[in-house]
Amino acid sequence: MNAMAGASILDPVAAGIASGWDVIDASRLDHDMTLESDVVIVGTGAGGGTAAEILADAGLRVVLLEEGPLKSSRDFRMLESDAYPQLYQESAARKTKDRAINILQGRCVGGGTTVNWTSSFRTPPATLAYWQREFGLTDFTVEAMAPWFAKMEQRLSIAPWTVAPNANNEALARGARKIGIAAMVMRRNVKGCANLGYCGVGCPTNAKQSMLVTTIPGALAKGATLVTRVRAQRLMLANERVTELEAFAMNADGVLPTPRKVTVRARAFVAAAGAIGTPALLLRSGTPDPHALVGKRTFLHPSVVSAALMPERIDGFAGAPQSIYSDHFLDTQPIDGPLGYKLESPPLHPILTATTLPDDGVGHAQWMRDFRNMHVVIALLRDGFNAGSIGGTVHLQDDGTPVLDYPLGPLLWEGARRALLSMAEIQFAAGATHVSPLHANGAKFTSFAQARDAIAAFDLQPLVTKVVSAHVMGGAPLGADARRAVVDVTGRHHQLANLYICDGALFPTSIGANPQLSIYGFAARIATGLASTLGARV
Amino acid sequence: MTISRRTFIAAGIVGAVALATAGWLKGPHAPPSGLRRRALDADAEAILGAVVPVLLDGALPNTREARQRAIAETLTAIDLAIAGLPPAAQAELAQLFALLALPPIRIGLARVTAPWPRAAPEEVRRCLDRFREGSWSLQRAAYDALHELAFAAWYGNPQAWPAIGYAGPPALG
Repeated sequence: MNAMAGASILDPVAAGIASGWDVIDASRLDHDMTLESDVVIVGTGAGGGTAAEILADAGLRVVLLEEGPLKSSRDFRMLESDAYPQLYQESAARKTKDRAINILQGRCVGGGTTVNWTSSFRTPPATLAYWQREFGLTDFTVEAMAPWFAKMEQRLSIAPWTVAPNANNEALARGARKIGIAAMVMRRNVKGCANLGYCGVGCPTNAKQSMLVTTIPGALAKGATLVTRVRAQRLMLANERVTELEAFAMNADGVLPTPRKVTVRARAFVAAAGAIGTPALLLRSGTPDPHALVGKRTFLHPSVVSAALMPERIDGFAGAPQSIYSDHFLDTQPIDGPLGYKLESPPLHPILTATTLPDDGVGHAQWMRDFRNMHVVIALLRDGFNAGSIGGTVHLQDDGTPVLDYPLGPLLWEGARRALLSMAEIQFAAGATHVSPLHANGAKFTSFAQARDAIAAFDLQPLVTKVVSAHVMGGAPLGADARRAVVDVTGRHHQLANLYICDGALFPTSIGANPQLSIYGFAARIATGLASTLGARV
Repeated sequence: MTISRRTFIAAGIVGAVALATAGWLKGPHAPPSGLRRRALDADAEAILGAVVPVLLDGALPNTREARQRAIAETLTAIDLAIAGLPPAAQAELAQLFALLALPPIRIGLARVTAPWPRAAPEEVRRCLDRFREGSWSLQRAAYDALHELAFAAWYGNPQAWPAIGYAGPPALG
C-alpha cells in the first residue's frame, strides 16, 4: 500500500535532489568545510524559507543552514512516533525552564511550516495598531503590510477552507453559536488537500504549502545551497560587522554536534532560527546588546486546554486539524487590558492526546477509551500587550543551547480562568456530556454550573494547570528606537551593519493569531529590502 | 501527606553528594533485562519497570504474557525516546533516576520500602500521587516527566490503538 501510494505522490524534494540541487547533509561530512556566499540564512522555517526564495530570485547566492534533517513526503508515514523525534525541537517535548509549558516547535527543513496545522491569519489590525502606537512601527500599517501578505498568500495558496470542518472544529462552531459568540472559518495554506488530518506529522501528500515544498525548492532551483544537520554556533564579529558564521555538523541522530566545522563567509547574515534559536545565536555570539533586549520579551500564546466527551463520534485525528476559530474574547476587550484569548480546536492524535491529558492509571485509561468521542478546545492567551505581560527570557545553558524561562503569573492565570470557563460553556452548549478543564488530576464535570463553580475555585499553578504553546514570538524585536529594538525597521541589526533578523523573533509582542502568515509577510518585506541593499535585481 | 520543601532540599543535598561518588563506584553495567540500552541504566530501568505498569494500569493488555511484552516494549520505546533528547534533557532525566534510585530517597521521599525491582505497586501508586499533588514544583515536574515518557511510549505503539478505537493512519491513494 505505502509503496503504491509513494509511487503515485510526486515528492518535489526527491525530484529536486535527483535534478541536482545543491544539498549537503553535514552529518556525513568527513572534513571541515568553508562556503562563500552573498547571503547565509540560519533556519529554513517560515522566515528563512521565505527569505531564501526572494533572495535567490533576485540573483543572489544563498546558503541555507538547518539544524534538523531534510525529510519529505516519502518519509512522512503519518506516525507521531516517527515525526516527533525527527521533525520537532527536543522530540516535541521542549519545555520552559520550570517545565510548566510544553512547546511544539519544528526542527527540520521547512521548520514549523513542515509540521504546523496550516492556520493562516494576517497580523490582526489591532496588533499592528498597537505596535504603531507603542513601538513606533509607523511603517507597518494594515495598508503597508497588505501587499506583502497578498504576495505570500498567493505564493502559498492561502485561501478559506471550503470543505466542511471536521467534527472537532464543527463542535467548536456549534457551541460558539449556541452561546452567541462569533466563530469563523479559517484560511489554510493548502493545495489539493485530501483532508486527512495529519498536517502535524508532515503532510504525506504535499498538499500543505509549507516552505519544504514551495520556497525552499524555489531557492534551490535557482542555485541556492542547503546544508542540513548543522548547528549555527556563533557569528564572528569585527568592525561592527559580521565576518563569518561558525557552525558545527550534528551527528546523524541530531542529538550532539560533532567537531566537524562548517564556516560560511557572506556579505549579509540572516538569523531565522525561530524566536528561541535566533536570540540564542545572538547571545552565543556576543552581539552588541547595549539595552539588554536580546532574548527578553519572548512570547508564547500560552494556551490552556479543555477536553470534553461528546455523545457522537468526533474522531479528532481525521480531517483538517484546524478550520474554525473564535476571536470573540480578543475583539470584545481592550488589547492592553486583562489577557484576551483566541479559541481553536487542535488535532487529536494518540500520543499528543495521551501526554496532554492529566491523571494516569485507570482514570487516564478511561479517558483514552473514549478517544473517538473526545472534543478539545484550546484558548491561546494573547501575551505581551498588557504592561504586566512581559513574556519570558531566553537563557543559554552550560552547553550553549537555549532554554526559555517563562514565569506564569497572576495576570496569566486570571485570563486562563476566564478561558477555561468559556471553553466549558461552549462545550456543554455543543452537547458535551462531560467537560474536563485540564487542571490537576483532570476532574470531569457533567454540567456547566458544576464546572463553573469548580473552575472558580481552581488553584491555578504551574505544573498543576496544563499549559501548552505552539507559537514562539519575540526576543529580538524590530523598531526604529535602538533603546527598545534589536533590529531597525528594515530588519537590520541596530549595531551590526550586515546582520538581519527574519523570523518570529522580530515581533514586539505576541501576534494574537497563529503566526505563520505574519512571519511570511514580515520576512518577505525584509528580504526584498535586503536584496535591494545588496544591489540585486528585485 | 506532603513532603516539605525542606525535606526535599535536604534529600537533594544528600542525593548530590551520593551522586558525586556513585559514578565512580558503579562503572558500566547491563540492565537486568539484558537488552542493550541507549539511555537507560539499570537503576532507570528498574524504576521505570516499577512505575510504568502503575501509570499504564487499565491501559495494558490483561493477559500476563501480553502485559509483560507491552511493558517491555514501552521501556524500549522510552529508552529510544530519551536517547533522542538533547543532552541537557537526558542529563536531567538521568539525574532524576539516579536520585530516585538512592535508598534514602526511595524510602524517605518516594516511600517505596523495597528496592525498585521488587517495589509494591500500591506503594508506587501512592508515590506517584504524592509527586503529582506535590507542593514543590520539582516533584510535579518529576511526575510529569514520568507521565510523558510512559504515555508517549505506550500510545505510540500500534498495540495500544485497538483499545481506544484508533485504526491507525488512513491508507493513501
